[in-house]
Amino acid sequence: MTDPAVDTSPFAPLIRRLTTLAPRLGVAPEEPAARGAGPLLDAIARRLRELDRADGVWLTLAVVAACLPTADEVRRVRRELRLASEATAYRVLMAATMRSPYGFAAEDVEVEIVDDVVVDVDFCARNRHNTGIQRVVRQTMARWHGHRPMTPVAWSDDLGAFRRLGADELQRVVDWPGSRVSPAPAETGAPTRVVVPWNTAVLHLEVPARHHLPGLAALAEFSGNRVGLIGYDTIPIVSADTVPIAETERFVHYLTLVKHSHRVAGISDTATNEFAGFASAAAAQALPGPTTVSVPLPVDRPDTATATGPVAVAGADLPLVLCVGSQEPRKNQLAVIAAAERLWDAGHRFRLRFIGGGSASFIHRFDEVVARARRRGLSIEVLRGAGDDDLVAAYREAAFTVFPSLHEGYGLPVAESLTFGVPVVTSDYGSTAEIARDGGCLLVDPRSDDEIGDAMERLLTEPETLAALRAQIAERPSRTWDDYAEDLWRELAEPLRGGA
Amino acid sequence: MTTQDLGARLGLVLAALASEQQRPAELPALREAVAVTIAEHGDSAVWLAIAVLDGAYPDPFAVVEGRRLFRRVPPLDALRELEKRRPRGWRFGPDVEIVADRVIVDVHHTARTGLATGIQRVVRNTIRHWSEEHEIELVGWESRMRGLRRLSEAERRNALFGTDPHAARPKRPAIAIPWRSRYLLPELAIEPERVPRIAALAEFSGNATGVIGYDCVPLTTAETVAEGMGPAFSRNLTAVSRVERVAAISDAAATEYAGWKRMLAGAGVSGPDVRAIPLATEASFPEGDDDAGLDRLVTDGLPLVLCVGSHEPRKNHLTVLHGAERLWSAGHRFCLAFIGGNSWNSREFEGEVERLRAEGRPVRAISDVDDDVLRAGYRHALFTVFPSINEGFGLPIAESLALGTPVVTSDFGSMREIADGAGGLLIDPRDDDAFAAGMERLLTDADLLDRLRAEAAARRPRTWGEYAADAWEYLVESR
Repeated sequence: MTDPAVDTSPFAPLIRRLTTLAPRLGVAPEEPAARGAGPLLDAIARRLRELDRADGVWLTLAVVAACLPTADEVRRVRRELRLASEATAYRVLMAATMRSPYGFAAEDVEVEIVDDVVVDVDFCARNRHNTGIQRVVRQTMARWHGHRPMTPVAWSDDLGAFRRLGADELQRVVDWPGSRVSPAPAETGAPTRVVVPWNTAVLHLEVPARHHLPGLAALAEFSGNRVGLIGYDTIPIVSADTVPIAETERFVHYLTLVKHSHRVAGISDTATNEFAGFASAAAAQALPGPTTVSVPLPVDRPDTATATGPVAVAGADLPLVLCVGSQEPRKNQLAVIAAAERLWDAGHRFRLRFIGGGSASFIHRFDEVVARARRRGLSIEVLRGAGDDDLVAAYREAAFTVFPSLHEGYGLPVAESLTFGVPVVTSDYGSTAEIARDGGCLLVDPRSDDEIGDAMERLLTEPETLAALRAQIAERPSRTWDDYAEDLWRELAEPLRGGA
Repeated sequence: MTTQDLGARLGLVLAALASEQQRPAELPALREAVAVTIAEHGDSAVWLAIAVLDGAYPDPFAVVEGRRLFRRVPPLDALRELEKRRPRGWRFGPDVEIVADRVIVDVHHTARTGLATGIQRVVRNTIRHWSEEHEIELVGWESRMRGLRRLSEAERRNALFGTDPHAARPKRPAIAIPWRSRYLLPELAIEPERVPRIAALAEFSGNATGVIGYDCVPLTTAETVAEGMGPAFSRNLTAVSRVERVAAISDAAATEYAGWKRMLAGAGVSGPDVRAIPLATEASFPEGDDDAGLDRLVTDGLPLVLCVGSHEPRKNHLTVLHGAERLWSAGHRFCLAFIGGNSWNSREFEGEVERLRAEGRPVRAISDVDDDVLRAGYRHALFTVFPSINEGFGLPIAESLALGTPVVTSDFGSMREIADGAGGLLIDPRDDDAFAAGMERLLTDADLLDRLRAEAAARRPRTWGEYAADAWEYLVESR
């Protein structure tokens, strides 16, 4: 339907973008388009000036410049349009476009306006990391893909906009095991296909990177799209003394996105409550804040846990106490060692194994404490960089696990341990206590080395208690990734989809 | 130069923990007595012993390590290990004094600054009243931020009156160690050496604690603050989470702190009691020349619209410029003056002011004015505007109203609390049309302006004396 003369013009990509945009603003594109980009831009600018709406300005800037505008930019352009005359309105749009990274020169860029649910999975698409958040995203997307009306997107760092995934990226998101075995070829030289969501839901299943956040917050505030998030935790704020400064810096800007978003699905009641607390603080600036809803994660074992049957370990005469999690102050491993030392002094004999990477600043102290405990005679192993096989073997061998973390959005090691039928000593509040509600755990105050030690002592000396906890684990209700993916769609995507 | 040897320090610890006990004359017996007493007393004694022996307050990690030490080895061995540890770079800790059963007020920053912006005004007005009516000890931090110390007389004067910002620090001050005392923090502490020590003091030392809570803007409005403030403020909050009471300066500030407090449950922390103790709304200007500096504010004798505050994005001054430009274009005659410094991300504001001036619009932006000019500006203005996005309090609103001048301000939060029914015209600051319409009404509707003036004149301002008394009652006396 486009004129061949138009297609060969140097402004062809721009004309295509303007032609895509025009009907959304109630501008009939045919006649001005035939006369070129200028008349079409002029018609759109006049219409925008007349509408005086933030969502129209947002959409226009996003489509014309192929770049998600910041809140400051939306406000500025809206003001400039008001002050311009009908005849000069187009200059406002030209100047705004020239301020964007590519100006009018984004040539190899196709822009499409999408009214499917847009799902931001940038990190999982572009990285091979697969712990915590990435597991949630990939398990969910594997189940949504092909079954739900949605468009997964990543971030174009060049442009500052959403774009469609390449085949290899898509596979990494929706078929993680397959991408490890036979990866799809990367698409090179393909035009960037920018996705601009319009009148739909935009879901952030990850915590976006710092430099995406200004554009994403403006989308939530001005675009008219409804924005939903998975709420993992607010550790970078509440436990700011335990995380790197850059992590908190990113998170406070994430909170601007949260503040303007419409719905947050917390991964536990605890995480949900943290986001609800933040949302309630937004009342001081007359913002409603997002609706919060709890969609708890399933209690699930690691992806690669395929081996069956208990592992026979030669010379394993002493019971194994397992402690899984990265070595950092928040995970409270030093309390476990302190408790273990007291038990050892009281004559109890056992092996203690730590599995997990460590933050550089903390490992030094951790290793000192381990060395000191070993000199006392304790049997302590520290496995860093262990693979899933080591992890699975350890769960199969363990008498029980210990996870007295000070703050968790979910507490994955507790859930994992339970899926292997292994009882857990864990913290008596927050998300770990939530998981423990269905049985199989002893709860302790993680700030009391004595309580941790007493619980460990019980599990070392009372076979009937250990057996009772194992029996409880067998009776726990099951919740699968299928359940989670379905619940999440129903609780997060559906309410935000609008007319669809 | 330190004068206190180990025996003297152990003696101080013993006297604080077990005042009735005779101090053994010989070091071994003294050591034994102190070690056993620490082991009996638990965390607060561990905190005290480290602070006294090091001449530096411990951070939370050090207290937990000390606690574990006393669980792991016999008390005497544990004490010997504590004696051996020293803060990095200090061969001997500075001398210490135990400050028992007192109210100590940490005004470290206020004692050493000539600034008189929001927080300093609150601190000075508050401690002036407190020090007149109660026994308080004003303290600041030793130069490396490792412990509190008493202020010099000159620092004390500056803390109270702001008259001596270059007051010399005392030479080699003794570290003041509060014991069975009450520690109050009326200013914002974000220094990385200071914050963890306040956290440990609040969590472990057994001293009672309270702070004045200004707002949670770096969390709730992060898009408007400079890089680095979010993390610094979040760390401040981890210390505040261990404090017993937060006196929030408005209902809006209390709403923010209450929301944050709710976030703490996941960390197993109950958080402080939060109560709104609204600030004074009286103007603390000395009487002065009513026309001081008006020539710097007023253009061509036009009616003056005044906007006070730094040009940070949160203050929403671009909305003010836009509203004024639309009204000028529509033929309204007035001049606009901003009083306030440039700040983080104020470049767009500066550019807009420059453009409007080049186009001949009567707008001025000045900074570095003294109280006389500020007061004259408030008095002379037809009305003031303050459409901020988020404020813990909004001092310029209170100042404008106290001097009888109506204000166009935001229809929510602390701004509504101060201005509603008291001379304020309330508008949605995110709605450019609403803001411009509010200004237009006050430019054209003389009856409305008179009514608002009458409201402002009729309001009974809350005095600093009342504020200080309420804050004292909550932070010190209530149970």
